[in-house]
Amino acid sequence: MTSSSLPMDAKKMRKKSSIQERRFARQGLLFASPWIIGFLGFTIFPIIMAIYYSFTDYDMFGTTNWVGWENYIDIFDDRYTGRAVKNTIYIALVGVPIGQITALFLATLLNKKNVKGMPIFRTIFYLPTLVPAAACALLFLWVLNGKNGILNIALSSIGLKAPGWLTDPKWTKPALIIMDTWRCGGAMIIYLAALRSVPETFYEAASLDGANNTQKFWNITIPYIAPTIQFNGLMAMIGAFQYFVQAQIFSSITDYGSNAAAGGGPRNSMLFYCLHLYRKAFKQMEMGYACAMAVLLAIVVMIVSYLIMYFSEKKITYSVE
Amino acid sequence: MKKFLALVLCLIMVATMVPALAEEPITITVWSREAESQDPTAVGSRFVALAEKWNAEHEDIKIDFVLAQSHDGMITAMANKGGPDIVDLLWQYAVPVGQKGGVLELSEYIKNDAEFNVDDFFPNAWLTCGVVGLEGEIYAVPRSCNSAYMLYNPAILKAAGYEEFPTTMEGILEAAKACHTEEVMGLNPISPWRDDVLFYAAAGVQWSDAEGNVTFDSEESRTALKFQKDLIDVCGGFEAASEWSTTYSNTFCTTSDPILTGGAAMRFIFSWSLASMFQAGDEAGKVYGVDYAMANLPQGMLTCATMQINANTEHPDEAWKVLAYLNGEEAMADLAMGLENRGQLVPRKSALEVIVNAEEISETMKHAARALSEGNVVNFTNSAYIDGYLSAVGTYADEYLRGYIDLEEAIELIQEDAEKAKEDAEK
Repeated sequence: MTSSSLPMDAKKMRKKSSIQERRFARQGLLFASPWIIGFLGFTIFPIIMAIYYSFTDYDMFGTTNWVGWENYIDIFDDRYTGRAVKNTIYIALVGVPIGQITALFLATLLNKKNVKGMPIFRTIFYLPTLVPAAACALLFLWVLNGKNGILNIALSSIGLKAPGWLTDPKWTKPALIIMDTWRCGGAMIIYLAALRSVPETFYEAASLDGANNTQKFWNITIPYIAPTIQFNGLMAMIGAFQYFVQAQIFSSITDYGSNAAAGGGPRNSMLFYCLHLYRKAFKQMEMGYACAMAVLLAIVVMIVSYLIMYFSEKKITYSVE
Repeated sequence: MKKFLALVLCLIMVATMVPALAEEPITITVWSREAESQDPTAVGSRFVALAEKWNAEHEDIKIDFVLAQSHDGMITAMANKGGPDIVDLLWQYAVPVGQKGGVLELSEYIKNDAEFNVDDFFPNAWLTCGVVGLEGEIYAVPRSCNSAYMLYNPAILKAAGYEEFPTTMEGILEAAKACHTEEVMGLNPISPWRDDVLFYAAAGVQWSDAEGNVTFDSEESRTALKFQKDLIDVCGGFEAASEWSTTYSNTFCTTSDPILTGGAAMRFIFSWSLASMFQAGDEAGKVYGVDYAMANLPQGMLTCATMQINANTEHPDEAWKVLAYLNGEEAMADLAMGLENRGQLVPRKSALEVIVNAEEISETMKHAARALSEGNVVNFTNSAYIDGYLSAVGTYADEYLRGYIDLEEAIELIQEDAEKAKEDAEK
């Protein structure tokens, strides 16, 4: 049926509804406009400007000249960038899995039923997350002190060699991972919520079939909470690429003099990509170069996120209630 | 009646406009990195008090002194064509930001302001404010100084056969070896500024020549690096030296300071902790000059806190007046008594005299003030590529001291990286 063959009432109705829809759309846009303006002004505009500046020699004060791909080429020639990328990948490939496995392990323990005082245990394990990253870094400077640190005292008491967590370049990144793992309460809570949503009937059925706890964990729990693992893993991976605060504080303590505050620690073993970016932007005032680093980081994060999603989606089954 | 009312109305309007037409005072805003403090004798509080004193005496220009500002915050505000009239950026930013046009060049103001009395400053302080000091372009005014000294335990040195503190770097190294035992640290080289300034200044390194070319590849640089490595070897390697430093640095300037307890023969001490060291000595019942003492390095290092005028200021002349006042003889004499009333080293000779003659100032601080007045101090050469240069020195000196690369490789890499930083800055 064509519009010309519609009865007059239907035509009027449609016209009326179309006017109303437009009015609603206008009103909707009006109400959403503060957010839209904010999004355009504080998100889209800075992104566009960062991309633009990445092709310039912008140094915050002088004139800005177009330099084409020069900043991007320089990034690959910069020997500090290579070091920073290696350190960042280390955290992403070693730190992230350790943190996620620990969080899942703790969540599994805290999901046990019939344990007295469970809310207290859950609170205790979640508490470190409430400590700000900066305060946590300062606290761990004491925990990881080579001579008087509680960790090394404990290691020495059982006859193990106490490493120089803050001074030996081989141990600085493991030291950061230990500190981050202590703060895995955020991921743990999300895992706990996911574990509690696994229907009890699945386990009961598995028990009837003679499955043991390990089999239940691998064949029921893990597949059921796979979307949560994917989400937590992805967020942690993005966090690893943006690693900054802890490294800045650790290196400001272990570095001295003019290099302090963004030094990168012993042998630049704590020089992460974002720390190097900050150093370029605010210490050397090469803002164009820093913007190019930021653009590259964004591209890498997008590619890695896509790959994680692509490969994990095939193995994930979303539950339907 | 209408005419009368109109006249009254006009008169009222004129009367209300008179105060508006009167000249408004100009407010010069100063952003400082000094901390806020309830203690009226702290440096930040003293600056605020100086501003209040100025405001009470001047009608045309007022000072708004804002404490606890971050360096990055100041740079960002200035880059966005805003920010205050006066800032106190870290000294190594004075030249790079100045050459990019972020802060004003001050030579003319300094030359033309007789009251400022530039001769009262010791000359090397100006090296932190420009590439070649007062003879060249100046982008800042020095407001306080830091330098390094040797703190030692006379009894330990005496037992090792040293009646007097050695006056050469070789002598200090030999003394460190002689004093070092399993219980006593001879001299630990891991200390602030060891990475880029301290040892190089002591060895007489010239970081660059008059044309601004990097000259790190020199015998003096080799001596400075070798000296550190030798000291580290005495300590039992880099790891051992670092561990000792991270463990004991927390006890420095307390009653458990290893110099006071006999755990170390010598250590480096810096201006900012001299007064607390003296206080700790008192609390531990130790006598300065007997149980612990201070000596100068053969050539001391120098860093200064500096103040700059933001190039975005609408009132450059008034900003200079305020800057000159805050760094004038009277203000500096007052600030010299700061840092919780225990003295702050400032770059004016007249103010250093105040420290030397004041009763309430500690002996350690007086020693430092005398040493600074003699002027045997140098600082890292300021330049547009200073951060890249400092990073290169810090990075490769560290690699060498840890034994990953040899001395020649370290010198070569530092020279190469610093030259690249210079090249980048010149682009």
